[in-house]
Amino acid sequence: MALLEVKDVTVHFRTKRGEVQALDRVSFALERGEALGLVGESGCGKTTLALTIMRLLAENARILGGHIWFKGTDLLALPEEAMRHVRWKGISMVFQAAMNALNPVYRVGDQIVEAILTHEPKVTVREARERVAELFRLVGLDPKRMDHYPHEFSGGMRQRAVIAMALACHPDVILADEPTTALDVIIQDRILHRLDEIRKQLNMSIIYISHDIAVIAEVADTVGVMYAGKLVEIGPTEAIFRRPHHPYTEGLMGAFPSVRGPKRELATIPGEPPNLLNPPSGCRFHPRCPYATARCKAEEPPLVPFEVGHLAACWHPRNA
Amino acid sequence: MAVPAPPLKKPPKGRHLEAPWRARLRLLRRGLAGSWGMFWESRIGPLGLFIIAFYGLLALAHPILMATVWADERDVYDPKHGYDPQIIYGGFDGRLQSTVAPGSDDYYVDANGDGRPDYIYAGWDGVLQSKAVGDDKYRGGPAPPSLRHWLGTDPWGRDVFSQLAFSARAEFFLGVMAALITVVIGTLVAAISAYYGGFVDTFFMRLADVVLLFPVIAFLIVLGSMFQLNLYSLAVVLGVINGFGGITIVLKSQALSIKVRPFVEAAKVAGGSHMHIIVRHIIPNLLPLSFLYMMFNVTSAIFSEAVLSFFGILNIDMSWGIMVQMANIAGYLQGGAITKAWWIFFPASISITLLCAAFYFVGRGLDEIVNPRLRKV
Amino acid sequence: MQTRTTAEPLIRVERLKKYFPVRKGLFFQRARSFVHAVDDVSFEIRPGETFGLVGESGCGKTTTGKLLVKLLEPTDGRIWIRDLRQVSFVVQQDGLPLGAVGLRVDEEGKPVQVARVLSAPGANAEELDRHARRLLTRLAGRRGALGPVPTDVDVDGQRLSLTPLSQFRSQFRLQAVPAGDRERWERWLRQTQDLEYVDVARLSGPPLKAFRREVQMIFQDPYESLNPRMTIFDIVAEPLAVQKIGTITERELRVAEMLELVGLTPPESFLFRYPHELSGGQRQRVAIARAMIINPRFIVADEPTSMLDVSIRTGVMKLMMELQQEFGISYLYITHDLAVARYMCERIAVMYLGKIVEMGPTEEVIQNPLHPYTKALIDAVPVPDPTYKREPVELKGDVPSPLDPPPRCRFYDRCPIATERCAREDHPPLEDKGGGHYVACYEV
Repeated sequence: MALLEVKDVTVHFRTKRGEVQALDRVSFALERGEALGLVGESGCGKTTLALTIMRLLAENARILGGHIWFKGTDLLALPEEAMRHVRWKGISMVFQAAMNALNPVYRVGDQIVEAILTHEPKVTVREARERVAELFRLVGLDPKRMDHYPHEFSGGMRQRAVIAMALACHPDVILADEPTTALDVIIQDRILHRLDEIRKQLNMSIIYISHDIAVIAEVADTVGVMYAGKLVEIGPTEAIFRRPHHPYTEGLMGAFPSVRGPKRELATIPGEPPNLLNPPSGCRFHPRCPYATARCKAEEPPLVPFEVGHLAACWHPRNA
Repeated sequence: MAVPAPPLKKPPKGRHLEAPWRARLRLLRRGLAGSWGMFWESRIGPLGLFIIAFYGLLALAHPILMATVWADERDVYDPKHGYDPQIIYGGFDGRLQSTVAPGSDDYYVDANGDGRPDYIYAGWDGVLQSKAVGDDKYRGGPAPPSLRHWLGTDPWGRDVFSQLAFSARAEFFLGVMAALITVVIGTLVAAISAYYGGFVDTFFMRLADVVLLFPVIAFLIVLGSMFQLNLYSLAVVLGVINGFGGITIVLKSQALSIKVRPFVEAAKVAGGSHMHIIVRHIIPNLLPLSFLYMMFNVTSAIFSEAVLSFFGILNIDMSWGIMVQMANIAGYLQGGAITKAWWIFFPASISITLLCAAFYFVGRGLDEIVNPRLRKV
Repeated sequence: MQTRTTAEPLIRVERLKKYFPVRKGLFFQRARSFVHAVDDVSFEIRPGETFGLVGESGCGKTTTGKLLVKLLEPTDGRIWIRDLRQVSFVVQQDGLPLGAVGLRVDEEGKPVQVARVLSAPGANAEELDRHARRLLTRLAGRRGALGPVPTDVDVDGQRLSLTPLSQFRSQFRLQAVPAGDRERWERWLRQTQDLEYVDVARLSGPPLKAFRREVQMIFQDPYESLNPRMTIFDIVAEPLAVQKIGTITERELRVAEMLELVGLTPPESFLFRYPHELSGGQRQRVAIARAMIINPRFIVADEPTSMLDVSIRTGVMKLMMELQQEFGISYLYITHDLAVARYMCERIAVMYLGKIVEMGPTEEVIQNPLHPYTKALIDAVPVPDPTYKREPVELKGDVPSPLDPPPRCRFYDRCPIATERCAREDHPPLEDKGGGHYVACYEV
């Protein structure tokens, strides 16, 4: 059984202008020790998915269906009290604007100690501090800096402190939502390497969420591609990059510039992502798809395997 | 070889573009409609607007009533000089004089001007009562509400409702006028000091500090005793003082955040002058907040007027503040008197509170439009 | 738009410096320290070229961009922009150069005024002055009076030969001059260069307004660079409005054309909308339309695509390249993303802590980085290919503070190949290692 299994999760947001169909029947499974990368553009629902798993959605969100099985329990059916135990200890999250997630008036170390004590009341302060020192070493920070305030840390250091905080209660799964987006490449490189090492060392699972397919290519074993609230393709990283089935995945790969290899022509995906207040009928990508036919407009393609472990939702798959 | 200004073509026939002024009108209408929807949903805003409308109608009603219903009895219903002979309370004929008798707390009134007391006012025992000399029977002073006088009469026999309606106009004028002056000054000063910074900024900000710490009411009391402050001059004085005060600090901090936004830099790169940037970029983005503060300033102006009138230092014939002052000097605020002749004090004081609150409510309603963070999703 | 077919740079940046004072102390606010945001930077941008500035946040690339469009004033150094309102030529008589003359031309290209006269070593300054004034009367009112080729003119019976300055400079050989005079001629030649350029820092009044017409900027954040209270029409037409070009209906038509050009079709449906009604990609297209509407020669593009999604980004990048082709615009393309720079720029300069550490043709710099910082920067970029295994980046620590840096190589503290010399000597100069590939490093 998978460690975390998301099954047919549908989430809508109620807004003044109408119902935003943010997630539509998203399903995937995550094994222990696996690194899953979710790529997609802004507004495709990747952050909503993470918040749904954490049950931290805004008040106007409605979960219309689906299950999230974590170690055999359905998180969506769990009472809030029980869910609080799962957060941090079972699944923790590194937020997008994590650099600002630290409270400026408390010492960095104390904030992590606080987080540990809240979730594990049996731990003493001394033990918690020892654990924080260990975590600091783990993420590559000097434990001596535990008693510094956030403003004394650089952006990269703060990001690492936040990762240390996410690791504090030895979670089984970490959701890393754009963990390095605001950082420069050299620091990004360091943090991604460290996260990858920690994952292997502690045999954790990580879900990386990013718009940067190059980052995902480097850190993920499995890649899920999201478009307009739907998971359109999922499979082993190499298969996704070598033989993308969905035209959107293909376009994304072609549009991404690289500093390595020969300089090839960049592809353009015409049009704009749809408004989820009123998503297109059938396949949500069909208005931008060069291979779209009448069937794509009328019928919604199911997510089906084309190879072992490589699924795509397309009527006219590429490289299949 | 030189870069010519790009020659702009004359519009060819066949291509029809919407005229800019027409499009702007359309956008304005749409914008107002959208804002109105949000304002309506704030609940508190429409409530304020409703109260304001009520007092607006009251203010409008006064001249109409004077011209129609009260036309035959203008002397009775005149808010300042009215007096109803049908109600007996000792006959105030406008020549009210009083002297204190030796060894007595009582007031004597010489009604017919013969130098001898005609009525005696028994001291301040609560409700002011009077009796004719030689008459043992004291009669009630101010008349309670009746069909003839909806809100009764004041100690001088004037119709309270007429006073209330008459004053409403003055309150509106004062409040809106003062707030308008405040906001115009505040917005300009804020935009200019935020944009230019340096000495200009330091000067206006220190001035704002001074004004903010300044005991404005005490200053106005002194000013009121030195000069004859009427409604107009009070509006200007209040407007100017508030304009250089706290509002500049609030608006300036907003203007500073606008100034550093890239569209201001973009306008500079396009060759926009300082004036262009202030007028086209900073002020339009400041206006919603200014408008919001204008509402709060109406409240503050009306309130200041009430306080100053209460101290009796304004050269104003009639206002809600004066009405409260009348109740006070006639002795109806002391002791348990408020409940005995409630109609003298409450209509005016409640009106001050309600109208002040109403503008504040409107401000709060606008707040939700101006500050999207407060908006419910 | 007319462009000069010449290799002479459009923009010359010489030893540009921008220090920001940091005030310390509560009561006596004296500037004690300086942030060296841009520290002694020199480069050139040629007509029709895209020059990239690449570096991490805080390296001074955006400050450089803002200096170039005169949003900031430099602390020191010069920014020269080629003055298209001046034609410059060298007057020769009997094969001997008398000196260089710059004539100011009006908007139609007709000479109207003698701008500058620079007599050659040994030549009679007064005579040249006289010639210049006569030439002006001869040429006044004649549009494009001086072509790109030498012309001979008879003035008062004397036959003068006029050679365009750039052509003269490229043909002139110092070796032909007697050794003793060589220094004077060299100085003169250097001075003539300034004849065709104007110092951006000294611009004010009408020339500044003209400069504002020729230089534009595209900003990073399309959500913040468009005034939310203005319609798309007002935003795009603003440069025309402040330059007082055309009537409102003419402007409207021009804006519609521009919107069509940047792919916002049909323009009628965009003209009177507000920025918040548009997507990020559409907004950046609006920003481009606005920058292009007055036919600038030079655009500073500060991370124009970094906030856009991948599928939108390529479209905007391609649009910028197409417009460059069509109008012959030069870009200064500022980006942190080397992969994007690779596609957009002909040449790039890598900045670190206010200094250019490496500069050269883009492919050359990316394929063959010489400076250890450039190497680290390229190694750190993730590759969208799961089979590609990158070398681990060997860099110590974080970017140090740009506050009063010590007088040695800025990269010394983090450099894997630093030697004792690097600690002892000043920041290394930018040297040509062949093929226009410049590096500032002692150990390369």
